[in-house]
Amino acid sequence: MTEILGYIATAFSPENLVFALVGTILGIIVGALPGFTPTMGIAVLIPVTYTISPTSALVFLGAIYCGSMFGGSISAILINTPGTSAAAATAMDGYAMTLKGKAHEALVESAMSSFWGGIVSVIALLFLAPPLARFAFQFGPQERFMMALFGLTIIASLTAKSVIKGLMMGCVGLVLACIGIDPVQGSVRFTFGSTFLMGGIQMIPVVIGLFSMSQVFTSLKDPVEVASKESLVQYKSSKMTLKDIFKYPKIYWWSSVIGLIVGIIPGTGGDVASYVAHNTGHMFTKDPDYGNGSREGVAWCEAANNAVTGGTLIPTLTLGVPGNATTAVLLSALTIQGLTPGYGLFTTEKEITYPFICALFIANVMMAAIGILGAKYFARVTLAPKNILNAFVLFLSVIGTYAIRGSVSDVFLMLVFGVIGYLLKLYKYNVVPIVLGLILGPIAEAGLSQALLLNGNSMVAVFASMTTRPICIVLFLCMVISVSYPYISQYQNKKKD
Amino acid sequence: MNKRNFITGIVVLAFFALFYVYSGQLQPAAALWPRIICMAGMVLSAANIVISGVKWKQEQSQTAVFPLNPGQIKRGLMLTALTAIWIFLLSRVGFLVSSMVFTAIIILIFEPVKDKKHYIRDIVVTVIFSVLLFAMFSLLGIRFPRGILI
Amino acid sequence: MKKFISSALSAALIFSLAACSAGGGSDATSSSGTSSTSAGAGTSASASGTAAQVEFPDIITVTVPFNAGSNTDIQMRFIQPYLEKHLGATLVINNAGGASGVIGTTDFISQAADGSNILFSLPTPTVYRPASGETTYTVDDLVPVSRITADPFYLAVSGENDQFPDGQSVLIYIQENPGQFTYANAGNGGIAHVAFASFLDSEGLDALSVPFTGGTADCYTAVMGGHVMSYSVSESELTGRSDIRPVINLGTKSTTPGFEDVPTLAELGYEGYETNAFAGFYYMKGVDEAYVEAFDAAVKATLEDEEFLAAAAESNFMHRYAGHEEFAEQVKNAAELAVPILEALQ
Repeated sequence: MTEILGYIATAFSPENLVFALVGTILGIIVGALPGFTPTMGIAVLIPVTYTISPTSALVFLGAIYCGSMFGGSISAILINTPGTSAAAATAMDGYAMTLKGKAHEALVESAMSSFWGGIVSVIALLFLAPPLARFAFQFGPQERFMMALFGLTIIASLTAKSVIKGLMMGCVGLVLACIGIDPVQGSVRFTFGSTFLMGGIQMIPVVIGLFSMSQVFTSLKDPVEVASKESLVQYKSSKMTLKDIFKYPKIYWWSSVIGLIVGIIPGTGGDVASYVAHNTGHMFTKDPDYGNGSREGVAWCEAANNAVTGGTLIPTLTLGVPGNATTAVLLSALTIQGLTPGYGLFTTEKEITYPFICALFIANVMMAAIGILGAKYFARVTLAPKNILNAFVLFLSVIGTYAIRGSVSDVFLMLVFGVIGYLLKLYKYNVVPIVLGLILGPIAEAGLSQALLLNGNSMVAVFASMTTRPICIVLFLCMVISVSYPYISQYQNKKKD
Repeated sequence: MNKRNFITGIVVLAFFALFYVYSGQLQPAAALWPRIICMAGMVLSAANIVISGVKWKQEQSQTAVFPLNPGQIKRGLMLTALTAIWIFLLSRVGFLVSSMVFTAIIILIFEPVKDKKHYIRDIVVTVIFSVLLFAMFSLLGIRFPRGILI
Repeated sequence: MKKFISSALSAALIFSLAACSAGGGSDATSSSGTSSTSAGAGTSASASGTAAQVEFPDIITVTVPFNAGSNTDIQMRFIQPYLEKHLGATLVINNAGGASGVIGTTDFISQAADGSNILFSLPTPTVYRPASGETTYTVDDLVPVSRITADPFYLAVSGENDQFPDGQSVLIYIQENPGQFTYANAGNGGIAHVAFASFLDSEGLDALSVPFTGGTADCYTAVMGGHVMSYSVSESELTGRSDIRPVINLGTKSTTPGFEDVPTLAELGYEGYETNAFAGFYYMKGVDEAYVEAFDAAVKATLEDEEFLAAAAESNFMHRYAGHEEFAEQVKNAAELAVPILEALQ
């Protein structure tokens, strides 16, 4: 017990508190800026940590990670420009809330659900890391493939009214994900002779194009009118009460569990988690606006999204298997500090690891405080004149897309997807399935092709092998529920009427 | 609405067909997955075309194929063209200057109140915002292309 | 006026949502293909005590054709301050990732060959991808300058695996069960694949390569979960892993404690197969020979620097220097070894 108090005391040392605060603030900024991923933020700041103690270094980088997951939602909610691809799901409900004049409420909810997601995952990291880590090993090729398929079933509930159109868009995303170097043969495909396309279609230009750029087109479709006095007065920040801190305990809990599990699975991260959580919420919600400006929707996405931080850190710290790109960079930071990931971190090096985990807890508290206090000010962004706001969103889209890897071609790609996204919205197509296809396509293809290789290239043998794998069976059941649920609920509603 | 689904269905079908044909040149292992997806995509788009084609004739209101009026089309094309030129000039003129100029142009074109006071305000705001954002990204370690100017 | 203030304020607020305070690192993460200016007299490379007299520009752009935070990027950032001291120039790191490094390398080759642009890379985009004929450049478009690291590859199995206690048992299994032995690697045509496949191919042996595009960590999970039997991995990525056991050294004999007993292919009776992951600097074809000499000398001095050695020892940074002649020889050999297996893939 005294040992634990000692770790907490280390975490609360002035030095570590300062690093946690600076890290959280930097993380929120990095997260909110489109195109500046938490991975880049941490990579760039690693040299800064060479000179400080290992604990402080980890606290600093971990705080950046936590802060950035929340930061991404700020720009997603206010200007429909997800700062990170993980925040793309939040934009669905969050931006719709902003359009209804509820930006402040959405930001507060985002901060709170992020906080609870972060806390649950930190606790799991603290107490359950070694046993949970071995769960990652169970995910072989077949499980990855089923996981991706399950993710794709989200399209069904996302586009319940026109599933065919939704699935069409999902396939478009999956095909786009095939461009570049294929995961089986390692050969180049669908590049039409372009070196640029060899690197594949990047996520960020597509997301920014489909979400932000197309939104600019929609907003500026008609001449901007002088904002009337009334419309400006209409905005008022909603009152924060104690209730807001713990509004949806069930959502926070279940969404965090989803985020944690998805985080532990290698190769999946916040983007998958928030869509899966949002989809789960769809089954439980009674809110008719769900998916279209519902506070619950924001809560589901953000809690899952932030629970991923602790989830990805579990295999990273215990096994040295980074759950996503960001933790891969954190892993290199660990090695540079002379630490070796593995069980040793929880035994011989525990005076570094445990204060680090405690400090993540503190970083989450700071993040929530900044988010709630700042929400009122962030939300005023929506009061800016429409022409100015949209031009700046355009600027952010251009600079953000460029920043991701310093490529002007990516910015052109962003524009192309902006136009495509705008046209698709005009013709009443949902663009979210494209993003889902892009995220999940590579996971599905790699899983399927590896399973085929290991099963003598026989599709039958692959599916037969799945029936003996428990995780595959569970995922299959989840798929069935996810696909059939929208129809069951429609049927029930009809019966009630 | 169904008329529009019918037409977009054809466009998307063509997209899948293009990738399906291209996948013929690939090695079987690399072509397998894209082929499955393209096949699914073609079936779905075909279904979309057939369903909307059948419903189209029964539809009461025959909406136009293109859901925009000439003014909206004009503005959309202008915005696309401006952004394209902007991106083209990024590395030739310089990232900061070109972005600043094009942001200002877009703000001014859409400025509802056409007087000097508002124009000046727009320009001042643009300059402040651009420089701050640019400084921000630079401090975070992004290098921007320099053309003739900054 | 009120309106002006309010919109200026809201603009500032948009900004504040993006920024509360600026700070942090000041080194570059990415940039476009435009080369930085090479004007201005730089400090002479003789600062590092070399014989070659050449004026380096003030700023040298180092293209790392992988994303910020990748292994190669971290290595570059690690040696950056020490190398800057010996070069007498500022190094700006330009991360241009994508397509296993081919995009960044393609971009690099089109830049000015005036000494102000240099590439720091693994052999995948400089040797293996061009050897398979997919790139617009060939290995001859690059001039090897100096090598920083040379990491032997290993075939490794799970520590809990009783079936393969040593390298000999693996080779016997492969001979007796053609096509049944599975080994994971970080992608077909990549160095981890070529390391074992080139040996199998030349010896007429057959084992099943299973590519995991998620990289070594993915391969490790697959091995530990029992989904594949083994994986091909470099020494630095095995350091400190007690749950994995290297059984065959596919590269040069290692002297690192814990690895010196792993038999090489030559010791198992197969001469002529050595694959190492080597990260090093390359100039593009057409650069003045004096720059190559001077840069190489600065790298050599850096890797002998006391301060660097102390920091490297503390951070487990493995370095194996080779001068430009030895490095060029290694690049040439690696390309020759890889060509048959890469051609078979196409």
